[in-house]
Amino acid sequence: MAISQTISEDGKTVKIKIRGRFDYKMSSEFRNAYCHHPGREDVIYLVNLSNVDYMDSSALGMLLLLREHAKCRAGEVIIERPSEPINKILKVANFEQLFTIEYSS
Amino acid sequence: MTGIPTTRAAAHGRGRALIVDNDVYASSELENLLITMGFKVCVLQRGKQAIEKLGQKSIDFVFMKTRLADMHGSEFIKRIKESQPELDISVVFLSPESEDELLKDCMNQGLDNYLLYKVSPIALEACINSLEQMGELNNLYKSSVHEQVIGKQILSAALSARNINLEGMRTFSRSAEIFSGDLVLSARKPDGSLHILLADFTGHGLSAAIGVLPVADMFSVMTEKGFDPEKILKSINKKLYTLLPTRMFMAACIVQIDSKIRNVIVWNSGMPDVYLLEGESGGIKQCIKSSHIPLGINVEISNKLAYEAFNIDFGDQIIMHTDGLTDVLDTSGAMFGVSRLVHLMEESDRDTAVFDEIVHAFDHFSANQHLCDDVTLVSITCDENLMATIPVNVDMNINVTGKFRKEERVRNIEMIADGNLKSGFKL
Repeated sequence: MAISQTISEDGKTVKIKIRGRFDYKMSSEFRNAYCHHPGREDVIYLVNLSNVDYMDSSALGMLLLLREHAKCRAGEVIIERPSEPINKILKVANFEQLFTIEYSS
Repeated sequence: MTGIPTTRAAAHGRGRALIVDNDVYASSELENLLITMGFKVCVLQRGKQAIEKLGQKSIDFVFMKTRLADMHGSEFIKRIKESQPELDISVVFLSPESEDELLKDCMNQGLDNYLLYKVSPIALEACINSLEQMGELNNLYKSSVHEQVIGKQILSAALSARNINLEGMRTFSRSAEIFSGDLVLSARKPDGSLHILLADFTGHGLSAAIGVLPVADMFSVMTEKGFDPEKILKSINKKLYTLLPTRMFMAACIVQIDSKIRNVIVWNSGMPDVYLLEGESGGIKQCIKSSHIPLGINVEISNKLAYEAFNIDFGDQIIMHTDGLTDVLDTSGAMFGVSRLVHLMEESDRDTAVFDEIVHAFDHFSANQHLCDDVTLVSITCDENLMATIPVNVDMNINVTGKFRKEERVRNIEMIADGNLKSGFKL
């Protein structure tokens, strides 16, 4: 599995970790990683990109979908430890204006 | 009305079959089976006769013995695929034993299936069913490509009416599908200055191309009315915010060059770096980074859009590209990368245009592989020719052939992408 998901005991934190290429082919897998956690509010979604070596614009679009999902439920998305190539892509898109990005764990 | 072709079986019962076999007993057995299954059947003994027949009459299936007296199966396949590549015929070999090397060779040339003597009714039915399904798929695929080509032509014509084609501007584009989500536009303000926009919608294909028209409309109308790029980008952002689904956005940069070609101003929202190159040496004078989020994500991009302004010397060049150029992979999975692009610009040979060097390096690197993203490269040479316009030439030919096989599909799409647009823009 290129995407793994863990939910904290209180259900308030969903950790999503992606490996390898994060592109348009991962669309439904990524969606499944947060959509099956319905009904809860104030959830923090931690998206770990430390092991991702490439992401395309569709993957940026997937992050925007998650952002909207979280926003509708008073939650938040935090992008964790983007790898060097991913950080460059996030910088070009200026995604730090849209997401909290944490550079160290 | 749709342009979906009728299936071959529907045209005349289950279809027409041709048996080519010099073994009279075996061929009459097969003939009986095929007639029972609803085929019109013709039996011939020689390969040469069969090739003549195929030229005269429409045939759906050919069942042929791999080794005929006058022709080997591989030669037969080669001759019909070469002489009549547009024919939609399924060829099935009949062989007394499995001849792996021969089959492998012929499968590469277009053989569809093979059956072992003595042909069992069940195996024959299964073979024909699967080939008929392939035929249906192939028809659907062709019809879909046909519709997309027409759609693309309509879009091309609509865009060509809005664009100006500048002599000093060159565009290289490759699309991953027939439609492209990359967009190059140019327009002139009433004071004579130029606006050139390069944009990249999320993803590729039809869904990415759908936002192209409203953007082109706003860009050309607002430029012609004399609006500045900041106002244009903000308006396009608002439009795309209401138009596009959450997952989609458009990265864009606009370059403005004044009518005397003395200075350039660049706005960059989510696009890769834009480069200003020193005319003679080709070295990088300036590199303009993205300073905003792409368009269509938030209702406002930013209160005040940042831009970068530079003086230009005659002969300087501006290079813009979409990420598809630097993200392309070679056959081993390595990426073209920004550093390779920068190296090409820094180390450019004085006798060759940087644009040509980049295109050559890209083609060499990507080795005609199927692309995962649309690719666009634009160069603007800031000299006396820049402001001259040349006529837009849109080639309206539709040319779609081939079966639903991956390598042919890629070739068809590239042929369409290469052949249909010769103007200074792409979609």
